[in-house]
Amino acid sequence: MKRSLIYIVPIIFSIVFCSQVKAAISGNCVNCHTIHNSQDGSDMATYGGTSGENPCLTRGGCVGCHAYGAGSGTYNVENIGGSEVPQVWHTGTDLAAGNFKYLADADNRGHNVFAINQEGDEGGGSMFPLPGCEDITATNFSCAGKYGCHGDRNVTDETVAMKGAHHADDSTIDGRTTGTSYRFLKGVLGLENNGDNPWQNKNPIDHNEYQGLIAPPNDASATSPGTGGSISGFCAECHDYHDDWTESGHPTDHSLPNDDEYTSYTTYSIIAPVARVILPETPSGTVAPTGTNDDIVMCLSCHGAHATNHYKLMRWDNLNNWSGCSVCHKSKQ
Amino acid sequence: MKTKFLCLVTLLFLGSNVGYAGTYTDSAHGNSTYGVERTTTAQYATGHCAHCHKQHAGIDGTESGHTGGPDNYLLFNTNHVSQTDNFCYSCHGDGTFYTNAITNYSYSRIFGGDTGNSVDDIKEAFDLSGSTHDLADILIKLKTDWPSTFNDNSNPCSGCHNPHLVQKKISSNTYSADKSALSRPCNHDELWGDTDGSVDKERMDEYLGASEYYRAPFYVRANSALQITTHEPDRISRLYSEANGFNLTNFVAFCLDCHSSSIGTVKAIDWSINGDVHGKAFKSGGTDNGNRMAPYTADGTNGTLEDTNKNFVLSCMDCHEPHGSSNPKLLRTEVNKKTDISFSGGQFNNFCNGSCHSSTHNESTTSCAECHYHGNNL
Repeated sequence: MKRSLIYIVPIIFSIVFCSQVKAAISGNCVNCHTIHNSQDGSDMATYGGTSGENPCLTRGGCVGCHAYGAGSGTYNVENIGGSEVPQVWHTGTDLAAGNFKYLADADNRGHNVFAINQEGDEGGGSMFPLPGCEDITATNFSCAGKYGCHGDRNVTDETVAMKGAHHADDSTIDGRTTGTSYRFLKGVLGLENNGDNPWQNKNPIDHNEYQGLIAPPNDASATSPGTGGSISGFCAECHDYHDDWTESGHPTDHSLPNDDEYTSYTTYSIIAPVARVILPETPSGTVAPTGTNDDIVMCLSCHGAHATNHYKLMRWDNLNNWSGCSVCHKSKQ
Repeated sequence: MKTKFLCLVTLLFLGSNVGYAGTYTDSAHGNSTYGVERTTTAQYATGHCAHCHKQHAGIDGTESGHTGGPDNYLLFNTNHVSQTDNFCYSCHGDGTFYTNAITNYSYSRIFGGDTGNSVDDIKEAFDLSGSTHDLADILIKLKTDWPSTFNDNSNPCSGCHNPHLVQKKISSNTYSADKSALSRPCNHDELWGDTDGSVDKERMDEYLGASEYYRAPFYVRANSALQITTHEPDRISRLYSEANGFNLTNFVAFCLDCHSSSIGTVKAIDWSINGDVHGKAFKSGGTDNGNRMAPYTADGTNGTLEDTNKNFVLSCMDCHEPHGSSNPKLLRTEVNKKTDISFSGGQFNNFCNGSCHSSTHNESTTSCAECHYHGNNL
């Protein structure tokens, strides 16, 4: 019996441990919600400033929790009452999607979400007007919902668009709901980095894995990344490549050819990462340019998702070098 | 175990940096100081890919060059249309896309010193009324002979130049033998002429066999009375016998990639010992056989007679322009320090006489080319 317990107990522990990491947000409800927005005479909905009552009784909007210090926070992951909350706007080390702090340097460094980039003005240095998505403007651009990226893009209110997502069991990313989509980008697939450096692309073996396609059906729409749930298809929802985003410029959802300079891209690069047709079970450090599965060029091969330190959300400094280009185009070093 | 793991990870990193060091950045286009720089892409470093290639249709809602997105190979302008409409002309022509104006003189001017030749860009050279290399024919030849390298979308200029490798041969008036603007169509991914002593014999002196000699033509300001004077291609004064093609690209091998077989009405060139006398076939010369002038004389000067014992082998560029000429048959306007060479039709006498030959045999009644043409061993 004792011998059996030796085997059984670790298994039980590992199941419990894994479910805590991969599944829904954990911690006390009050970490995120307030019933009456009042406790001992004080407001409770104060994340990101006093906000009054919020949909879903949250204590703040997206930015309230995910930019906990309104840009002045030190950490890229904040512990709020025991809940680990990734930060998109802070002074610390960037997460995989970048850091909205760079919008303070120039509007053209990132997606000009209104709640963060309130000085953004249409026609100026910011991203507006957005070709193909003219209904998204400098004053309604949100984190989620119809005018944003995350959640259900058929729903206008960004909080309602995310309803239930944080509580969903996301141990399986299938893209069927917001909660079971990669990073709550509805319909998108991927492998979220839940290792020692969650939400980060830390190094060649510690990073997110993005969904790519070869020969994509190009059926992305304004509210869907299309069949296959690729990350590039998701970008196409707004970036006017609904019909054929793979042919509108630099190829995306396209495999690195198995010839010439590309065959030297064999180690996963977090400077110019590739997507996978078949996602690995754990982040992989290897790439095999074969013209098939695991070496897919994507929008995020060159661009950050939120904001970066470079013009047009580029992952590298084009003004001074083309080091990122030569990650794939080895002969152009 | 940890140690082994760390070693594996380290090897992965090391493996990612293998090969391709400094090819594009060594090129004229990729140079961080004088490389490509389009007027509408100031957000990118000089030499950056984006100056020739569009990643998307436009930047900040505007699109320069080709509209509706990039052309083949993501080029910002149409890759190739005709003799006068080619992507390369965007900068090497009368286009307005470059930040710093680019001047490309003729071979006669750059290497021969003919300042009277006013051609100063590549488009102009390909549009001269005398004769030009036909880009449409070149593309057909490239696709036919090297189908794995060239296709319908290829730019015919790339038959001779690899834009990601091409280097400046002369920079700040200094000639660099170890740089090259050329890549052979049969080996598009390598430069040709930059390497001295290669097994491929990339230099003119290496092309020669025993008892075969190359002697570089005079530069236009050379003093032909001196044994030590300036020669092509580097304009540096040196002893005539030392101007032996050691610093000259082996243009014969380069050109014969295409011209060893006939192309339409253009005859095949045979530069072997069984072929043309300007090639490796020996012709003793003599007063009635052309009377070769300096530097093809006994001491390389005009003070001695021609050296009839030596089998001189010419480089194609000693006589021809690569892109186009105001003369027929791509013939240069300056040869061996004779300038203002201009003729039309079949009157080649002005080209041959006074440049390399002083004999006037039959000149009054016959054009040189009626007898002395490629393929006729006279």
